[in-house]
Amino acid sequence: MIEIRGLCKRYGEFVAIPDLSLRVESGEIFGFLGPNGAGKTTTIRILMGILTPSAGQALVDGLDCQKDSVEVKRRVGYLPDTPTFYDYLRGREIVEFVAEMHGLSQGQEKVAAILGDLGLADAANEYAVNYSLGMKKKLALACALVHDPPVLILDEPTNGLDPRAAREIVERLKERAARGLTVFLSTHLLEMADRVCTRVGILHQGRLIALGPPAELRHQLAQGGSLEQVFLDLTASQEETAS
Amino acid sequence: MRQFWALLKLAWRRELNTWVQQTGRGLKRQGTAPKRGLGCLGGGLFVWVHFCIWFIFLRAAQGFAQYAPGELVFLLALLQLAGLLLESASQNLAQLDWDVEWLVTLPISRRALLFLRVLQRALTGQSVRTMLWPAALALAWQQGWGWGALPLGLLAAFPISLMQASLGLGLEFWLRLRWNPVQIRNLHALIGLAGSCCWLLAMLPGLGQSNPNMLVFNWANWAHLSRWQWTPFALWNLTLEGEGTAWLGLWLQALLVLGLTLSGVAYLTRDGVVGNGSREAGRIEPVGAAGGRRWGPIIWRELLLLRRDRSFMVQTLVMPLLMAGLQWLVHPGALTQVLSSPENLCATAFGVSAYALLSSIYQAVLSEGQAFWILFTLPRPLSRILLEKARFWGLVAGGYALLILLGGAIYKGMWNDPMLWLLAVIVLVGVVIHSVVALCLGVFASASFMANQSSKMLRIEYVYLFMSLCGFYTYSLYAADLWSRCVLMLLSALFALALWQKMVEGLPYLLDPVDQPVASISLADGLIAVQAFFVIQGIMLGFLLAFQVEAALAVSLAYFGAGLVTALGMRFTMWRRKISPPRWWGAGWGRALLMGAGAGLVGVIYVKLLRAASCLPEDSRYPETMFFLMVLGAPIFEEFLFRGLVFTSLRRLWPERRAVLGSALIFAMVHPALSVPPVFLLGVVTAECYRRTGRLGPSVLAHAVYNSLILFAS
Repeated sequence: MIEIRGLCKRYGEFVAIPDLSLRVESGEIFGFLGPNGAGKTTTIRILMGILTPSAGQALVDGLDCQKDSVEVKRRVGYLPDTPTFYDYLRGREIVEFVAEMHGLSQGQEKVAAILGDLGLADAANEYAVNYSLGMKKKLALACALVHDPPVLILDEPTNGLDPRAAREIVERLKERAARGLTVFLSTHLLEMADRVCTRVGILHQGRLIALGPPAELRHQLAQGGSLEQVFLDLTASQEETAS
Repeated sequence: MRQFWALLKLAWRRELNTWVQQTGRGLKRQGTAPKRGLGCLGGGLFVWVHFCIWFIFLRAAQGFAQYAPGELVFLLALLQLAGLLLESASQNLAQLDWDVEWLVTLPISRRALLFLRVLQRALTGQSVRTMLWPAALALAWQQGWGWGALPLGLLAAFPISLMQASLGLGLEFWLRLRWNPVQIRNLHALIGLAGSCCWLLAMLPGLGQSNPNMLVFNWANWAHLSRWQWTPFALWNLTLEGEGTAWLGLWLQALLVLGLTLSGVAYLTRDGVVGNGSREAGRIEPVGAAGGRRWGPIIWRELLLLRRDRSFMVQTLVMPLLMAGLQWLVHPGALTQVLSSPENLCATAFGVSAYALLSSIYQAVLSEGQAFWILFTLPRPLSRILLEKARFWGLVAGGYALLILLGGAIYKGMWNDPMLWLLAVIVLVGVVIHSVVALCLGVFASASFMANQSSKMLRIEYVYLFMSLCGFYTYSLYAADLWSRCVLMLLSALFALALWQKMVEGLPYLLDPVDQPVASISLADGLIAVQAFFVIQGIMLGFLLAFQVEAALAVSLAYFGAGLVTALGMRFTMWRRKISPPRWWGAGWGRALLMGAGAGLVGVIYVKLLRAASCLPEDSRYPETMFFLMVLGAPIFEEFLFRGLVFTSLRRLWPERRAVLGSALIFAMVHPALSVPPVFLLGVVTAECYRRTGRLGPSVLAHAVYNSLILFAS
């Protein structure tokens, strides 16, 4: 369960997120939609304790993401938008490192299984800096999943993946969500959000301008049109009111 | 032509941005107040060190006149070789990405692009700025050109820098296109090492005592370098002597090198410009994983990287020994001096391990690079992870110290000197303390780099701060007695603790480009205030005594004055940083009275016992004028400093009980050695009063009661 209360983030004069409140229940796949620069990644980084909020707080399972960050990280698997890895470490070694830091005793078998599951078995002994973006994403996903976290926070999980890999990942996420895993993912791919998410929130200039199941939003706002239409309408009307 | 300017502007802008970021003006992240204080100190040191480099060059140049031509040519050759190698080592050879792959996609001919790159490096290269220009200026100044040395020196340096940049470019293309990344990375380490050696050898005559029998000059004579008048190094010197043909020769050579390099690179890139951008996977090593469980994942990872990354290995393991080794070239008699006393041997051991700490744990955060995010996803506090790294590298550095100590002890047979063993303990404690210091300062130095990523530069001033702190600690090896040694060590440890507190509080904000930790009283504030209190008191006392004020009155006045200045200064700082100051009035007076009286009784008994054992001289009585100081001044100011600031800050760092004992220990430490036990007790009692009530008033009362009892008893 993820809860965001009155979250605000300023970068000097620039207000990235003015005031954001949001609640994601367990077992949900929540899609965080928005155009580039809407504040999706900032929100996610605050959830992971990489950035600090200027005001408000973010909670995972009732634990504060800043004050109880260690406990939060025990429960969360995180995938950044563009993962970068250490030089001179092989893919397998990186996942093993993460597993050991999570205190897993049966680390090696687990790592081998998860790498095989994500189709990285052949590349496991390659240095991770040599990976393509898609492979890096999968490796980061392996790091995120290796300790079986109840909550997944994914920043643009299918960005840079080929259609087959993207579909595989989406299927995996659905599977895990069916088992009660909470997924919080950001994306600007509306089609994917439509297909995967149980609920979406559309973020624009740091404000939540729509929230609800994709079907409902479509129905209410675009009279049966696509989610893309909803998104374009909403962000366009916001631009107008802003200007 | 327009494209040409656009690219040149890009290069200049990159350079400019780096400088603006370095000075902090363009940075979004404005340091917090105490950081700024440290920054100022570091900035001063930065200027000082640069002044030293220039001074070394000038000294070397003064010596130039007396050198044989061959020796001078040799020095200049070394300098230029160092420039070439270090410039290549500082290029992005070690990185997989190669910006040329992007630049060639721009609509500009390849030849023009290459020429521009040479020009850019010739004008903006780091080695050009820090080596060629100062050397050329010093040389021209020495030849008697006066202020004309400035344009003339720069003009003479230009063809040389053009040559250096051309060769550097050729090297870069050749390596990138023909070698694989692992080879390049290893070679990169070697190039850096060779460059540093050349640089230090070239600087030798300017450092230390200039000695005609120096190793470098022997090499010069051996190679008969005086005959090599046609080489650029010799021509460079001749141009500055004002010979027209030398100018011509130098420029011809520069153009020739440029032309040859450009043609060579054109040949190399005839099939396109794509670097060999992937690292070899190498063979599968099942050992690594098993090691992980034995050592813990962090140390296992460090060991793995150390084994695979030669550059990292050279930097962390070889450089400290190399640096120490080169000192013997500078000062030929250094070895005998080092072995002449246990103090010198221990200072050397500590110096080498301090350097090892600087080249390893100081880079703890930086070496994580862009993969730092992984540490943010792990269920362990970041400070613990970094501390584990510090522990590992502290062990390595301690190993160096032990090796040197054992080597020296065996060689000189100092085995049975107890002093050596005492000092060895001080050295090892110092390594532990300074691995924490290096870790913290390294985090501060790389903070803005980590948050902005765009900034190329690190805050170099923290390196100088680290070195100064190590210097301060080295003094404890030479201190007169055990007590002052202990005090110095304890001070260093306290400073490390203060830095640690700052670092732990700053860590969650490390990747945040804007936000800063909420301001609160830190141990650093407390220590600075205590120090300011004593320094101001000393200065005031000096003045008052100089004006013939009676001694006891002068002491009281200085005490009150220093207390007021410090307290008001701290209140002002707190007001500016929006920190709520400690409060004074509240409940709990009765208990404070009792506790103060209890501690006072113990103090009186202690004084009586000392008298009985005639440890205290009979005339150690307090004059009546001291009454106000002891019953009013001391309680108020000392409680504000030690309970209001020091204890409050320790409380955020430690559990309550440890904070009480810690603040009492610091409080006792600033008193004379004989009075430590009862003062420590008083510190515990008053801190306890403050802890229970949250008000300074009761602890002031307890302190006043204690002091009055001691006063009446004596």
